[in-house]
Amino acid sequence: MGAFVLAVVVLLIVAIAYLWYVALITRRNKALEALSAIDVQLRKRHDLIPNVLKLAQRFMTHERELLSRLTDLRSRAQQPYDPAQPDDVDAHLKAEGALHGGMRQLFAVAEGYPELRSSETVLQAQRSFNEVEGHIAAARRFYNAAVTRLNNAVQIFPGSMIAGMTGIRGMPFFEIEDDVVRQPVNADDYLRAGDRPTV
Amino acid sequence: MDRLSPYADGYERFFTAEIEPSLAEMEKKRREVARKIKRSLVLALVAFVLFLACLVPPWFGAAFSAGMEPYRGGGMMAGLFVSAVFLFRAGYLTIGVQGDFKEVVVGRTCTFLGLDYARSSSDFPVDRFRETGLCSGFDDSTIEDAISGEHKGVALQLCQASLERRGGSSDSGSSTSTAFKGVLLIYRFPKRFHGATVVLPDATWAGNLVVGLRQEGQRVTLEDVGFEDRFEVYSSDQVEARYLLTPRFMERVVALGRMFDEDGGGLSMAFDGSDLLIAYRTPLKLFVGAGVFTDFTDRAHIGPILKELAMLLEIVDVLKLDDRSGSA
Repeated sequence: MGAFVLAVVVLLIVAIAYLWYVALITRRNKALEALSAIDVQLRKRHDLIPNVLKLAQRFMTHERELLSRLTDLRSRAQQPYDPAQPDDVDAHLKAEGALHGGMRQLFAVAEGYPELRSSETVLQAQRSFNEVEGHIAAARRFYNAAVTRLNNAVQIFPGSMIAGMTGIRGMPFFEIEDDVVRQPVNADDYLRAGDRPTV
Repeated sequence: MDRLSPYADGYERFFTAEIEPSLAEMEKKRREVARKIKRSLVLALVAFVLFLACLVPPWFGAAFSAGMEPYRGGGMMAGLFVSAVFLFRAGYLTIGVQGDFKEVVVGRTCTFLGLDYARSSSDFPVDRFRETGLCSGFDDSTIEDAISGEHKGVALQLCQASLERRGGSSDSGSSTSTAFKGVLLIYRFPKRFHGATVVLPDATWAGNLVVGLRQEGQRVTLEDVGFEDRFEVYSSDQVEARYLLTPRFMERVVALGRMFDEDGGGLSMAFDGSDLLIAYRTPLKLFVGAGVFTDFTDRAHIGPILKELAMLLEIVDVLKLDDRSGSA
């Protein structure tokens, strides 16, 4: 009788551990799916950047440093990485975050060039860029939601034990370090221009 | 009147010039029709009393009962028939005169707001609401008050719909039940999308489980707690659903829900083609206006109609559907 009870208890523990493991794998796959969705959207951004830079070069002759930095950031963000390695993913997302910040800075600086602001081609490029950024932001929200679920499962006991035994690791969040957004706003500039901030 | 709605600036002058004279004319007709309706109702009542007298003669005394005996069958039929004819006449006259009022007030107020109005329409694309799952399972549709036009460059359409489901035929004939009763709206949406995303009212845990089984897409969990309390989102594309339902847009949808009613419980939406489809389930009718026994020239009837029509434009502003920057 005692052996039977023990066998049932062991079986129950194994079943629970297995279900937990299945949940962990499902959540990791969901996070990887979300990461892949981000990459699809980021590729759109990468495709758009050369055109934006070409247009900017025509008008922003004094911003060569910024433009070449953006070219570098784009090449760095495009480097291949292993999605199964959280550290690689982290580096990849940070590079993309820096590129995002750089592009925002470019559009903020462009505000100071009236001929650039009035060019229909530039306005069209900015609209396309905003649309792509909207998709990236959506993919980022999907990814971060999936990562939160994975990380909770990986970090909370007994998930932490099962994850440790099976080598499943949490993944990094995709956070945007947007220096332009953090700049203090001088309300006077906007009031005088009678315009709303665009960033 | 100009203060009734932010969209009513100049309405007072328009009303005085374009609507009031017609209402004064219609008021004369209404009085005449009201007299006819009253006469019809009295005659219907008399005929019904005759029907009752034949049905239960003892109520009217023993002598009457004995005298009526040979005529009971014919009297009952005649009483019922005449009563029905006069009731039908009263109803017909009521619908006619109220319809004329609606045509003038709603139609011309729509003109003031830059919209087109038709009392009934067969062109309203009600099937799109079926295909997106907002109003499913109906066989017949009755469309009233079809309004279309543009506000701030956003194309829009509205109608009041009564959608009915045919039941199985029984001995007493085929039965019907209401699948949907309320308002259907279509707005051109400023973002491009390809997938199918629907926003349905929250139906508690068990209800959501049942609703979820019927949906083609996966459930989308969003960050806005207020939005999540009121709505459930299903989409074929998780990223696109979040692209459409940005944090700002979710706040606006909650505000829109409050505009309709406090908990937004009857509101559902779908993103279809390049349009935003909105279905608002309500037993109440819009643009009802004046009753046949009330003075048509009374300005108190106009306020609610103007506010209901202005709501059509207000949705564009609440949801900021004219924002084509891609960041809304």
